[in-house]
Amino acid sequence: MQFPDKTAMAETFEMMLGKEVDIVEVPHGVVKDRHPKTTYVYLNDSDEPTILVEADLSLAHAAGAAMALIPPSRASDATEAGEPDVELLANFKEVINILSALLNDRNDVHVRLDPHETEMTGPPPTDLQAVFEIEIDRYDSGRIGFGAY
Amino acid sequence: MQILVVDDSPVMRKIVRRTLRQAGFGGHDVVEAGDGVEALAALEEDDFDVVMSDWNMPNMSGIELLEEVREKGNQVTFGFVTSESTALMRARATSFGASFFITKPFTAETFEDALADTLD
Repeated sequence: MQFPDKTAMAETFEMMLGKEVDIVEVPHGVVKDRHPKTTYVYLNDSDEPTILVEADLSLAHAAGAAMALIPPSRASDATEAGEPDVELLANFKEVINILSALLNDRNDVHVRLDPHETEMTGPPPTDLQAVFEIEIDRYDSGRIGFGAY
Repeated sequence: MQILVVDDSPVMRKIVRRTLRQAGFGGHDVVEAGDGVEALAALEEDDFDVVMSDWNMPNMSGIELLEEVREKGNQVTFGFVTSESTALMRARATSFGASFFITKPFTAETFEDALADTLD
């Protein structure tokens, strides 16, 4: 399975957010603040789990706020409280949805975001194989990672 | 001109609006619908010049909306703004007279290229 590189991730986040982002690839990395509501699964055309995506709550809040021009303070307050902000996470889910295009560009298998929003508790079902630390201009930073089942 | 933006994601509808402005199409009226059913109702109530629709949506998908629109004899300029774009999807959309296929993420230039002939 091929994952997006740093350049493709930066382009996608900048297009979606309308803001500059700094991205660093973290070899053998893990996300720091895994949350059941910021864990996503892409399915193949047979509806089988194919790729796991995990994101730090801070990144999900920051990106979800930035793309809708919501003040950074709302995102950072929600992160500090450890409370998932429903609206910001709904926005971030759209980013995750669009990242499927980067996976489909690089692989023969076609994937799409699981529409059922299965909450993934417990240990991750697979290791992350591509992890990025993303800092969004004027907003918080955080990690996002991909792993193949 | 009047543009109907159809997407189940409110933030994506905002981004499409923002990108239309950035592409120089800010002078047109934009109406939003959250899925194909809402869009169909809007199209029955009003005349639109362009429909920009997501593909995957609850209740009625974008391609189902296009099929229904054409069945009703409405030849409005219709295009897709979607994260998925397989050759099969494009072929199906084209067979129902879709005019453009914009893949997310997009830029203002993408919108300019897709819409210049219709909206200028």
